[in-house]
Amino acid sequence: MAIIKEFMTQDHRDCDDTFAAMEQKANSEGLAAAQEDYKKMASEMEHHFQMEERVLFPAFEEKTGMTQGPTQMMRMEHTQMRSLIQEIGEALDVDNKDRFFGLTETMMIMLQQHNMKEEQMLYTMIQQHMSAENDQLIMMMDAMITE
Amino acid sequence: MNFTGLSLDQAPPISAPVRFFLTAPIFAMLAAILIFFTDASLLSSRYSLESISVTHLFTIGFIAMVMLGALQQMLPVLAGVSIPKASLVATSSHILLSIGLVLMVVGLLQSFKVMIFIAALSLGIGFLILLIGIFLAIRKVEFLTATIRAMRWALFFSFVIVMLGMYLLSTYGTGISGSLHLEFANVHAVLAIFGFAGILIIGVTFQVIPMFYVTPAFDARYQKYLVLSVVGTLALWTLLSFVIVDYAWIAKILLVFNFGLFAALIIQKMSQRKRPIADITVYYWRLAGGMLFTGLIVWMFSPLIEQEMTSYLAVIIGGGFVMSVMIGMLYKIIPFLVWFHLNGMGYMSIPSMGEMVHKKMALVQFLLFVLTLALFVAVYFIPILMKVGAITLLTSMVLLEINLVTAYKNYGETCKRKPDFDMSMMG
Repeated sequence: MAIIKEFMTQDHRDCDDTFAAMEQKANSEGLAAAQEDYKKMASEMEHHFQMEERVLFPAFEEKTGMTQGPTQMMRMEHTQMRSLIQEIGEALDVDNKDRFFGLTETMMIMLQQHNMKEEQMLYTMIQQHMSAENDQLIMMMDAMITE
Repeated sequence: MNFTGLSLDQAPPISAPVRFFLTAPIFAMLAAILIFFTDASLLSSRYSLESISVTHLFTIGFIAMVMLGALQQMLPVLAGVSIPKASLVATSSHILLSIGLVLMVVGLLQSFKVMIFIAALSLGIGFLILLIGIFLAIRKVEFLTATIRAMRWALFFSFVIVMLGMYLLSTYGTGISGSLHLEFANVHAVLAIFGFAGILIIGVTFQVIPMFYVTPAFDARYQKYLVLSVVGTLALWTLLSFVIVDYAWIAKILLVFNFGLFAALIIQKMSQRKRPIADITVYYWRLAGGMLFTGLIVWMFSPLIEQEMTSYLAVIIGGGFVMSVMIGMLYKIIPFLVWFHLNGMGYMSIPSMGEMVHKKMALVQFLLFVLTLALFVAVYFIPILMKVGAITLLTSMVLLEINLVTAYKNYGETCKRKPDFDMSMMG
């Protein structure tokens, strides 16, 4: 089985690809055509956020007692990104191309700097503390259904 | 585990990096004005006081300002560490560098000896304050990435070039230059371009291109060995330049190979973008890759042509490659910082990054910059074009400043206007 760090990093890359595919569609075929891709992107992102918020972070916090540290900051950034995803959807609905691409650019950088912190620091920390629970956590995250 | 850097509260205040970013175009404007009023023949000689002044208005005034500003911002994000007393360090270093640079140029051009000493001291202390701050921050990094390793090397070279620079500048004050003056000047220049700027750009590019443009990551082997290879080559080159000058060309070819590979990687990555949107920054990256490639070829063959090529190399590599990367990054960094800080304060109804920079204005600024590069290269054939190039450069930099200030103004205005006030109270 994969290790947590690789598993989560791969999920980041998959989210990046879905996000880029949505932008690609919106750019080549117009905003209306990108609705499906938007929904796919929004649900993949939400799934990733929830894997962390409902499975990975609580397990890490319980083990280390660090509840106000990095996981808390990552949750705050999830909130920021959720509001961006919602705004992107609103821009799609009103067919405002400038607003849409302005927001997707912001989202992309927000997302990437967030991923970087997780991949380079938090996941490494989690790996160090949770290696015994590795397989169990991955199975739980894999089986998790987005709420 | 030090995780303070992950919090927005611990990120440097927005004013710390932005003061450096917004000063940079102003020094480039001063450079343009100086070029306009200087005779072209004086600028084609590498060691004329005019050339030295113009060069440093670009290298310290523009390039170092942007790089140091960016480093302050990137350390928390890339490495989870921040500079101690970030505000104080940024403010004092920024003031000393700005004053020192002005004094240096005036002192050199007017032969005010005391002013030259004060300039050397002011620039030296200004650089050291920030470099030591960065050093203290980087020491705490636990998970070393290719980018952090590159930053450490760039930091090492920056100490060397600052020391050499202070020494070289003070010799213009004393009027006594040692027998190795030209060798030291050459080492100072090459280490500054390839050791500091080059290595830092390579390291940051490994992170930033995949991140901003969603490209596949750079091959792990390049991430691991490219910077080391550059460091080794620079060490060899420095040694050869003092000991067996006749063989320095070996190191030069190795250096050309290293950076040529890097230029090819940039161009390759830009064509693998998964984000389709070709904004102004993509143009700048492509320009940078192409100019680096061209510059290296010219550099390799320059001994076959004539010595006068140095100033054209400065235009192609310094302007075409280094400045292009810097300007491209500024168009991303400032809007993102504004958005990130406002959003972190709890404001929700704020402009997106894309709405902060006026696209047409940015395009005009880019075209003027490209035109400037072309004109400065063409000076080789038609000297009078130097004046025209100075004017297009000035215009391009005024536009750049306007574009960046316009983006930054969103910050102050939003704070003052306080939209969705209740949200900011919650934040």
